[in-house]
Amino acid sequence: MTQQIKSLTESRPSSAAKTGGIGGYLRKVFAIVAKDVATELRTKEMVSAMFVFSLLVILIFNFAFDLRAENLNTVAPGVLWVAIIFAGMLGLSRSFILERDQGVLDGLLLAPIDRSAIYFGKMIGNVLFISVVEIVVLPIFMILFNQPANILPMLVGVVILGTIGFASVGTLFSAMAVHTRAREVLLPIMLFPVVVPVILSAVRLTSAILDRTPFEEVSHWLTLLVVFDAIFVAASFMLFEYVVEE
Amino acid sequence: MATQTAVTQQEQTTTTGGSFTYGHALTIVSGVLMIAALYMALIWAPDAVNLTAPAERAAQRIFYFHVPAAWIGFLAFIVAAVASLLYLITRKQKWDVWALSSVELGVAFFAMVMLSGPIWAKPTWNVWWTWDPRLTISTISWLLYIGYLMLRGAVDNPDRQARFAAVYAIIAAMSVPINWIAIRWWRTIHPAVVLPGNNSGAQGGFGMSADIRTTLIFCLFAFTMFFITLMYHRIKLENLKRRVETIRQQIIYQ
Amino acid sequence: MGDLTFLAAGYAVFWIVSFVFIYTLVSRQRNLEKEVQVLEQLVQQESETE
Repeated sequence: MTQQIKSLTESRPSSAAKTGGIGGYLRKVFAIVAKDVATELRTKEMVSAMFVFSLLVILIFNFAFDLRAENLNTVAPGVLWVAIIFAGMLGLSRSFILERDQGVLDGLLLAPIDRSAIYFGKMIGNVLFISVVEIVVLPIFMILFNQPANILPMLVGVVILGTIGFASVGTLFSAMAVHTRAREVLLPIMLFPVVVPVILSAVRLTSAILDRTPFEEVSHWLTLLVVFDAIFVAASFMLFEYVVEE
Repeated sequence: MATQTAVTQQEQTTTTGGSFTYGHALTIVSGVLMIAALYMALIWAPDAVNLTAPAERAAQRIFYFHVPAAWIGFLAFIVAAVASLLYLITRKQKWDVWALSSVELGVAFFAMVMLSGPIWAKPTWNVWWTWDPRLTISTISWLLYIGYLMLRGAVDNPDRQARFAAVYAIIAAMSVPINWIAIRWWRTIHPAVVLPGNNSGAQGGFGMSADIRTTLIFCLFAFTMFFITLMYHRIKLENLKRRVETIRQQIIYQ
Repeated sequence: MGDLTFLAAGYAVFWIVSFVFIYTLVSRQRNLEKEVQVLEQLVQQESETE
């Protein structure tokens, strides 16, 4: 852990930490992502928990809603996104809790890195972890709901955009929630109302893909999703430093 | 007696000059306006023309308080967001006090909206609740406000509490317009009454005559004064609370 | 005038919520004033023991 932080600080002398342009910045972001990935690869705790959890959600929905063939296409998008959102919540909370418990966050803050780089690093890390779960869940979902493989690329696109939207504000909020009591409960309470547009857009787009609805009819949802992602990545990135300052 | 003067001095030092008269004046003006608004809404305003059932006709008058409450609820949101932004920039306590007070008032006003809505809906559309756009966005906004208060309650460190709350308020306020659009697209039963000449045949909609509009605007004005008065008192209370807290710390850690 | 129950209930909502809110303001004010009393006593005691 400390070696990885050292490599961050040694990649640039402190006086030049804020210079080095886009390349240097991207390198720092990448270093943070790499650190998180390496940590997770060691234990694989978080990703396996998320994966099992999302499968459980699909299973429970199957029983709870008695998913017979006629109902399938109506509920399928909802089931997929509930599974993704709940697994995502798990991943979001864990990424900051681990850091805090090991004092890594303090180490990161001491290093001469622009705070916003920490945000991007964490956010991309979160997107990656949720994506890993999605990569496994999507094919299972398609099999369970009898979908042909040619819709996969479009589905993947929607899933990525939705995940980015979810993780953008989620990373910011989980950085706050980690300092509170009852953090597991507080994060969903804070996050869900804010990401409603993401859920609505994603579910509508997924329905359209499954129903083979022409694109023009749902293009406004895609616009909304992209606009949401742009606005909230920007806003979260700007507000992040106010959350982690000490 | 001594404590009375001590508290009086407290109040006078924590607010600008002439605090007693300001507070009392606001309260009286506000009270008078609200009673006038009540009279206008219940008695002066004419019955809406194209409504048939007597219960529906009577209940329509709820609209005169329900709509202003909703507008003020959203205004409180804007005030909270602006105050939060100002707090993050200037770090002056005053803005944090404004944000907190505004959100609390927002919760109160949205509670009015959420409770009066179904009561109006039942005789009008014969259902207590629908997931129509305005009800849904009000629910979400209410939950956002409550989330703010819960977040504040869960953070002990006062500086962090103020900072986190400010960040949350800004994100929450930004999410409201986007939520509004998304929910609008998602569903289209709320009476389309705001502009005259609108399709008043829309389910439960009613024609807006000039008198109805006048009443609505007057009630909106009364509610705005009510909001300002409540803000004034809430802010004063919060300032007193923080002052007392500071003094307590000073005494204990002498 | 038809059935006034709903109308009455609707308006009752506004007054009840307002009064609850105002009541919390007033009671919090009273508690703070009591606390000021306690603090002033503490200050008096401290200055007496000096």
